[in-house]
Amino acid sequence: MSIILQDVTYTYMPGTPFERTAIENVSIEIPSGKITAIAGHTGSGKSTLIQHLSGLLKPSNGKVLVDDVDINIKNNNESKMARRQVGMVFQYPEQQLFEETVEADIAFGPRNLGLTEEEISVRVKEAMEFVNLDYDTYAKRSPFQLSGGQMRRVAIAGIIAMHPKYLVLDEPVAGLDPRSKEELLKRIRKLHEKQGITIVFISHNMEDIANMADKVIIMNQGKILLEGSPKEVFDMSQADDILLAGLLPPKTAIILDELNRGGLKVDTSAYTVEKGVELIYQALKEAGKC
Amino acid sequence: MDFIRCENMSHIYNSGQENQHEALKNINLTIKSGEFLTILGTNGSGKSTLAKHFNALLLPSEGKCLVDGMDTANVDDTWNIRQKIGMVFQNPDNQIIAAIVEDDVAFGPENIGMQPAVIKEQVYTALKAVNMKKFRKFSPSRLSGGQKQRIAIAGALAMNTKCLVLDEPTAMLDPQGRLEVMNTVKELNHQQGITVVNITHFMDEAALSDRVIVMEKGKIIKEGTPREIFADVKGMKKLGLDVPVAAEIAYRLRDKGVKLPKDIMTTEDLVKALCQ
Repeated sequence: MSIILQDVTYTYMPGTPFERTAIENVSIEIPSGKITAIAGHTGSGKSTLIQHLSGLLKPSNGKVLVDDVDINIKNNNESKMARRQVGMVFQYPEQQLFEETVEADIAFGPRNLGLTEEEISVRVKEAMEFVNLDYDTYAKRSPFQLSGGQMRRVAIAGIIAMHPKYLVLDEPVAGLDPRSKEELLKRIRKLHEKQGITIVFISHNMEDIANMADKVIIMNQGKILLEGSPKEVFDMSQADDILLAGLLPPKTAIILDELNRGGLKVDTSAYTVEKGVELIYQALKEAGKC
Repeated sequence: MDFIRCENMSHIYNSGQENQHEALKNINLTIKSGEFLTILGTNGSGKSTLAKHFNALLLPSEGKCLVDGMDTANVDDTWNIRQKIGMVFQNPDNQIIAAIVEDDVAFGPENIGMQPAVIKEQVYTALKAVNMKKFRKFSPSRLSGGQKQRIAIAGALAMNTKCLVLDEPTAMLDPQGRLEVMNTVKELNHQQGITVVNITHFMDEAALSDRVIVMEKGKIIKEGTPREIFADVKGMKKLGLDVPVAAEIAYRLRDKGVKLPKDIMTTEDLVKALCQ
């Protein structure tokens, strides 16, 4: 089970002077039950790509399959149900909140699915619990009087309440302070672990990707530049490719590389702080420096 | 010389109403001319409210805010103050108004009645200063986020601004864009002596500045050089903030018994300390 893009090309405004091909012949697999991260500079085609995952954009060429079902067949119930498996959280989703209370905002999606009021209420409570918003405290409050991090969690709860099998998030932590960021990433990971939801997220932050992802896809100029496990993608031998794509390798990987250049023989395979500290400590011990 | 001075400054939103909120409490702060200051703090700590006082977008509920000796509460000086202080906000798309880059940069100077010949020169110099000269005939819609932010900075420079107040200018940018903007800001600060106040959640940016203040619940609770601030790794984490990765690695190594100086902040510091 997975989402598969087969040779997908998308051209904005074809046949006009503004014609622009945003992604070209992209073939990828988003494996079910995993966390996949997509990175790339502004304009590299990331957002165009993820809008294909739920059928918001229809490929100019190629196919999108969700659990083996082509999601772009018109008037086809199977195709429609497959699209519903994929929940999308856009950039700055708090800007899309509109209801008078937190509860009503989260209930909007489930209500559109035609669920009963009891079922909706169960789902709202469960979704709020998942994003760590206490129901009794926040349900009747206006979403507009919450902090930025809280508003974002309300927006995400609205999607979770629709029970998607795949959750796609476009830069979920942009603009949040370090604590809110960590808290939200923790919640997303928990959602993944507890409910087995497949996560796809876009990020510019290689540290977050290194800490979260099972699979990393790096895009450049509408094409897939690198694809693989964090270990494969963040190997410093590919650092130049990552820089060319307008990104920076994880800071820990850079530091380990610099230490090696400076003369400390350290294994450079780490990309998270925890692992990096371990490797440096080991190297210092071997060098008899501590 | 003191360029901005806040004296016992407080700000209360919706004063007297049910949802009254004291966003700033008794702030005392002096920013020197030519200084590069970073403001850190979690969302809702009062950073943006403070910054908006610097160019009279908000006025103190109590106390005073002086800019280059002018009281921001004095309406006659509002426009003089805003000419000296240029603000750049988070979203590049919200602050560009013209269809051509050079028209956008010229908007401010036109509004204050500069002569056309002078405007032309100002726009040219400003675009050159932010390294965007060759894009002057472009439509802003064709630019990247980092380029748009530099256009916004050029707009302030064309007004002969003395101070840039940047409210999370890189929050929406990719790493390349962030680097472009911060390099530009650093250059303007070093070479032209422009005073810089940067609000950010990126600790690497804070490391570039001369001084850091940390805010919590409307108060300034810490102040010092970046090295002093980031030496307290535990304290920063407790506040919901962070430290640069090199400082964090050094902290954890010290925890394991490795002898390292307390003020390691950059990758170079760490390499120097570990490879000697």
